[in-house]
Amino acid sequence: MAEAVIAAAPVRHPRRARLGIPPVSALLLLLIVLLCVCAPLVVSAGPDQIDPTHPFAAATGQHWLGTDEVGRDLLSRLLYGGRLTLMVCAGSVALAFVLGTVWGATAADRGGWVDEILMRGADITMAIPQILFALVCVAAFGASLLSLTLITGILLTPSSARMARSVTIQETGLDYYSAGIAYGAGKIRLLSTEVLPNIFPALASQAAINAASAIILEASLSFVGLGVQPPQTSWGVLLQQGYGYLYNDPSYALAPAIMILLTVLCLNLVANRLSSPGARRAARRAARGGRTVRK
Amino acid sequence: MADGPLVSVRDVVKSFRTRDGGQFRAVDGVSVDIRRGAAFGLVGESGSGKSTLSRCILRLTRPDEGSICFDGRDMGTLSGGQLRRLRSQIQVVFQDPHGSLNRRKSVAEIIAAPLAAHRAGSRSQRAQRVAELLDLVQLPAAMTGRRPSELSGGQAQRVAIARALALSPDFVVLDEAVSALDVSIRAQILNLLRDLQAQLGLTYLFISHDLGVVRYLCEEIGVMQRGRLVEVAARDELFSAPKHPYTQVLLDAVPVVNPRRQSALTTPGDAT
Amino acid sequence: MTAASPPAPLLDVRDLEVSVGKTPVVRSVSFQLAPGERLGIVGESGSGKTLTALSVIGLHRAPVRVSGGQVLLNGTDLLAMRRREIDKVRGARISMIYQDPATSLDPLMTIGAQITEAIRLHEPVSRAQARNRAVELLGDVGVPSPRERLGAYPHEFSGGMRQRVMIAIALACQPEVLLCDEPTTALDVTTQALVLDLLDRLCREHGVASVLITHDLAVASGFCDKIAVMYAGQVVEQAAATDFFERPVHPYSAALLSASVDLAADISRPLPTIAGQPPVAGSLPAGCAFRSRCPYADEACATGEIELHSVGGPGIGGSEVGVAEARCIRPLTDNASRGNRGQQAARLTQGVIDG
Repeated sequence: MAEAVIAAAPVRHPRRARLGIPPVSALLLLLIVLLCVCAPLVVSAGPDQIDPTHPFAAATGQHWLGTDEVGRDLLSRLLYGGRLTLMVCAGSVALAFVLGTVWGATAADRGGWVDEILMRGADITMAIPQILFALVCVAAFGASLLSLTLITGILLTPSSARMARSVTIQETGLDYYSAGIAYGAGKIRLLSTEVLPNIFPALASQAAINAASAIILEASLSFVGLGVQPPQTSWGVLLQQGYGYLYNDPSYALAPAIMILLTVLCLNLVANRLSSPGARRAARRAARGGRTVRK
Repeated sequence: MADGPLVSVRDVVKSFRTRDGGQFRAVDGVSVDIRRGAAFGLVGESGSGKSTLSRCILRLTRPDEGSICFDGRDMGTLSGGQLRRLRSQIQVVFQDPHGSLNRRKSVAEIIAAPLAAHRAGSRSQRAQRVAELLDLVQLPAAMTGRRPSELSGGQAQRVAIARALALSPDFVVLDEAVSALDVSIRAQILNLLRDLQAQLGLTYLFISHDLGVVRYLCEEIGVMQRGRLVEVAARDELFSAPKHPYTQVLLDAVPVVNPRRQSALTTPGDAT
Repeated sequence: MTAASPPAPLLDVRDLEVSVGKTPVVRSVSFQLAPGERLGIVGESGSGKTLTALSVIGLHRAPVRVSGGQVLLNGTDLLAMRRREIDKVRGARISMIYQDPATSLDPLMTIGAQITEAIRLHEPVSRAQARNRAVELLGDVGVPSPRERLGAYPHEFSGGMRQRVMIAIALACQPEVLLCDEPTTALDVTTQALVLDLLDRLCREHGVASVLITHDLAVASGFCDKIAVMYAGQVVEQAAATDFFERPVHPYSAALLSASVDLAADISRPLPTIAGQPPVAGSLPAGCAFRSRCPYADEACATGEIELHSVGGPGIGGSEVGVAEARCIRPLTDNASRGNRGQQAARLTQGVIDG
């Protein structure tokens, strides 16, 4: 009970307001997404509007980030490119979330050899070199937004599956689950109505981490030409194009790099916040070091 | 309605694989009958197998050998659907009041969950039943919206009892149901359990390591040691003239509120 | 218990105040311990008994902090010591054992290493000497084949054995005071009896004064010379054990005793209970914290601070002077006649069922 007293001590984030005041990382993330979605409202020039007379222009009032090798407005390309990157990110995370949750929860629930097979499958998927996997898929199915989303989604699924399995095992070990079986609820019903709300914070946190990975994955694949194909642009494509002109015009590559950095950072911070308060409390205690006060 | 015992356990064996590959018999050939309307106590220390046996009776795990009959029907022969329907007659209250309640649900949702699982009644009928049950366990109706974290241990356990009674079961397994409660709350819950049994004609299987509590609640008591049922006796017999030496060991070990120390005299070995 | 002035106590806790954040959870707790004496601190969850012990030995950590009072061990105030100084005292002069043997021992160190570490922290002995001492200690606490078991890890022991190892570690440097926080709560009843016997023997043999914190009155009665009952962060009654169990003075103590279900409980009637809910720290009413649950409370109980004061009188038919201290203005020994006392006890045990 000493634990309960300490846990009940004045907390700066009472349960209700846990998601109340958005932290800086979430706001910044929202800003980035909004900028990309509302790109037409931010920039007047289109991403493909070439202007061969002004290549590599410096940052001016007309082109806030300057122009690229054929005079296209970099800011515009950044924001419109961001749309594609974020779309791929969202799609793949959603795929990984759904697929991973079912995969992990099934493994957790069935146990035994089903669990073994499913989890070894996840291990194998994680062990495949990502670029190699993308290469094979692109060779087989061609490069498109859809294939990119699918490839990224599949590569992210095992981590979601592992998380889902581990939290499901935890929850189903609790007495309320046994009580549910005892009063005759079916497993599917129990898992969906009782267990899912409890594991959701962990899954959401994992999804945010996956989103960060997805952005980096998209950038990597597009960088090597397996992702978004020109003339479409994304942050990865911009990085690749900027890479060629790194000594002439560093800001060309710098802009998408910074966007990727910021987005990934914010996603990781948000992931930390989304994880359940119990886990955060435990992490804080561990960081403080020293004995936890026992009853 | 059969005339025989409500629950009949015959030669049940349940083993688990140990880390080094061996087999550990948690329940080693236990047979016992529980009469309808009785409060049967099962005592034993850790490792005695009493919790494993209760899980077998609740069918949360299948026994490796033997059979368990409820109301004359062998549970091992029932189909999935039949077993689910039978479960409405066998309910359980666990030891940890907060662990046995879903921390994200409200009290009303928790108590109504068994009804929802069996699709019993309309929404308003269920709400009414929840109100009835809260009244039965002496909790104020205003509690319906609370979460488990807002309840004390005693209140949470009452909610667990209310949930167990939702489907009007015949048989309730109480697995160390008062062990995690404070002394004063324990007394309240024990009184409640007694009253409910008389009021609703319930049959109890009360599992505990606390002999004093078992003595208060149960007329018939079984003692388990290392997976075996070493003695079954009526309450008075067990406490005054136990037959098995292990029972005597248990009884001797129970501390009694009794000032054994005189402040000035401290003779070594001056035990009761 | 004679007219001569008592010698200075070994451990003297005066007006200890402990808070969690801004909420006081231990208020004005005082008790003394003579050498070799045994005090039982009894209370339910939320009474503050564990935090009291942790604060005395200096193991509390933020957000728990000591906001007042003194803890005098042989005259030196432990609360005024710096971390480094109290590290030297802890283990050597005052020691503690805990409730959960599974988490109190380091799972990654052998028990031999844990005991020798404890010894060498306080005494300038060689490793070999420390090991020999460890073997002696393990033998003392009843671990079979101690020399062979030195290399074993905690998970290879049962709960009762781990508790014995913990006792060995705690007594390794022969402290003068031993704090025991629910040491047998997590153990089986037969193991509990063995561990309590062990503690009894060792404390007597080595002259160790001890404080036993427990919620189990029966355990306290078998072990302690005097009892302090805690409720809502305060000591509400303090008395010699014999007097306490025969004739509790504070209504809460009496109710707690009646509500305890042991083998002698009356099974023919409903158990006497205490109405209402235990108090929540930080939202305590004015006056007596037990007021809302007490069948004897009146308006006077709701005002002001109620101090701990002596409630005394000759022992029933005995020559001892049974003086208790109680934080109550209507204690159960008001009206010295036995008849009234019987009436009061009956009132307490009959109709007090939770509504």
